[in-house]
Amino acid sequence: MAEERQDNSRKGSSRLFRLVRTTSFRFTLITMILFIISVFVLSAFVYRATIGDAIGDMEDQITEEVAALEQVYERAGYPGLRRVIGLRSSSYNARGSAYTKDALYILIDPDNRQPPVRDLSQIPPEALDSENIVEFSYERITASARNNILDPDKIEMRYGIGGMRRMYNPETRRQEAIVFVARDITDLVRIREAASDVFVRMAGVTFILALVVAYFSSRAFLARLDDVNRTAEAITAGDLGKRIPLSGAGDEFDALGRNLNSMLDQIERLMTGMKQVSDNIAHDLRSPLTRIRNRLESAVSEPEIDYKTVVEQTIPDVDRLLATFNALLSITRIESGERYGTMKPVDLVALVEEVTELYEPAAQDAGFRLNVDLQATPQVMGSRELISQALANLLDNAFKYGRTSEEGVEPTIEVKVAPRVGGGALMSVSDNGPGVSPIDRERILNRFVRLEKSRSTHGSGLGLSMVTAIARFHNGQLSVGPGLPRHEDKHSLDQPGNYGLGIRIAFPPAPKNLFEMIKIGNQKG
Amino acid sequence: MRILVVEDDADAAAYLVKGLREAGHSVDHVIDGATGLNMAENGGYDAYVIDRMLPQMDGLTMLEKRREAGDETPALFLSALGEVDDRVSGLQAGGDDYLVKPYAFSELLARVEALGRRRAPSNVTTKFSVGDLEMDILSRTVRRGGRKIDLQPREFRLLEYLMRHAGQVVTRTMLLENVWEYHFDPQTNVIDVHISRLRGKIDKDFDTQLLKTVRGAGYTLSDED
Repeated sequence: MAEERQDNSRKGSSRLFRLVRTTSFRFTLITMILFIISVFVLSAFVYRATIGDAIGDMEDQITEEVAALEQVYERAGYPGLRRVIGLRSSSYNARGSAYTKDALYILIDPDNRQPPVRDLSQIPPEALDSENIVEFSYERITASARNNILDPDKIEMRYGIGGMRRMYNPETRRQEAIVFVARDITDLVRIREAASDVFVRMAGVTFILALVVAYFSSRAFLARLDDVNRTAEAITAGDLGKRIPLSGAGDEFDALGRNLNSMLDQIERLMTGMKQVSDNIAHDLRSPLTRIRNRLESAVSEPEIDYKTVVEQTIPDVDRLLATFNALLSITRIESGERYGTMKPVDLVALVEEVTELYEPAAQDAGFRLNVDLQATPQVMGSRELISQALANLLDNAFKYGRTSEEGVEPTIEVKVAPRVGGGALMSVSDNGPGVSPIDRERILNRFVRLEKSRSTHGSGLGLSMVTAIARFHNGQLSVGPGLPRHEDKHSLDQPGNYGLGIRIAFPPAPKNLFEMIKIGNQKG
Repeated sequence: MRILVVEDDADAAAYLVKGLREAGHSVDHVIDGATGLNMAENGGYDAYVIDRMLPQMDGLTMLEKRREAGDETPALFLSALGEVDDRVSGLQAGGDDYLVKPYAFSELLARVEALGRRRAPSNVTTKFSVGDLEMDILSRTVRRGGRKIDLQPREFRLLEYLMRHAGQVVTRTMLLENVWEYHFDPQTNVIDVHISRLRGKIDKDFDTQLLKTVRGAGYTLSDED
């Protein structure tokens, strides 16, 4: 029990530690500290411009007055000085000072021959050491408290600045007087204290606020991050179908989640493909290999056999196996998207013209009518080689499986290029052959899938999955649907069995700015 | 022809060297790029056959160094890497042809012999003839026995390629790569049909068949039997 609690508290503290270490926590805190610093700098500036300046003015006044009093002493000696200060001093002159009532004076005769002037009880000790102007504090009994000096509550703490000067007799060089001239700055100091008090409180509140804001923002941050981490852990543990939940707020976390999810989709697709391949390798490659092995074995065991014939029979089998492996490798490489270097603007119309020109004689020989319908189409970004290969595979496929079995119907293959609504281009190959039932349409795109009736024909079963890979490589969409009507006279839409097979690749529009670049490049060239 | 084979796989090399010697060529074989470079520097070869991935110095680097030194001996790369980008890098390194493993020996032989022929100044020749078949590249005309034969543009390019390699075996893949510029294998026998069309135009009404099928390899254009 106790152990558990300890464990929990450890967990709690490690969670807090984690929170403190998050970027958002640090960021909020640093922002607030910078805010406090800037407020401090601003306040310092305001202080200098107001209170600082006012005090500075008083210092100047004091310096001037001390200098003036020195001249008075030189001209009129101690008695003159005594008279002038007496007039200015508020305590000595009962009718009030000619100067402000804030002006404070002390005049002491070291020999005590004459009565001193004392607005203050003593010269503050900080002023005795130098002739600089110093800030000091003193106690003053408030007007109402004159009768009760000892009551500390009635004693008021006040502030002043002042400068001291010793006066020497010019002839005897004896010190004859000490003058202290001061101004009361209690009001200024009170304002200053209040301001710095406000500043300190504000900094404290800001700091606490920063901690709270940072705590909550990092908690939200961590919660979102934990979603990502949990998903990653689940996937590492083997649940490939797991995806990062999106909040729907459309923020950068959603963007990250979306990107990671689409990456995971791609990985899952590759994994599934991989699994399918290994399943199908077992299924489809094992049989030709077994066949070759059996043939070789029987050639060795049977006494009267023509080795040359056996070998000649075997070579095409091996070639077909190699072709299958090559196709698999190509698909894998296309799907891994390795070949971005080969993307260029491609004129689909010209490309289809070239490929159909290559296939036209073979189509005629095989008894197909090859219709080519080319409409002006914007260029697409892609690889000429790959798109040509996709079209070649589709034509190979149509030759192989698209032959109509109907009497009196001419076997026809139609290749079409058309602009796509909303940009991009469409390329399709349709036949009027037996077609594929809607249930099987998606399935024929998978690797090694050959529908039962076509198992007897040659072919790796990889042609269409390569087309799929090529379409995906171009960010295109491959769709399998009805092709040309099987009978000219009775075609109705509601009977899919009345149509051959049609396979269409939709290419996305090429990125505009890239095309602009290429156009400019061409003009220059 | 004197051929330098640079290939580190002993089995593959033995098979290759044996085949080339049987075809009447003199062959030197080394197993790494550095030795290959030394051998090539001594000169005297009509063609190089270089494996792309070699110990010590890879095939691309070896050929690049030779090309920098001004050596223009035609070279063929052998490689297990067969994608478009791989071919491009092979050609950029100075290769003249690129063959993807595994390959049929007949394919390699045909390509090596075609390379050897490339050295001859036939590239600037504008007139070719095989037997009584004549081709003029500039006026784009073809005559046989003085009679004009009309060819489609692609048929003309096909015949031109065959004429440039007259007497040699030309494989279907070579035709697909050089006449149509595709590097994939169509499953349909598209090339055979084009050849038979061409044959119908240049051989049909004549006693001597110039465009012959070489079983298991490809085609050859020649007036010898």
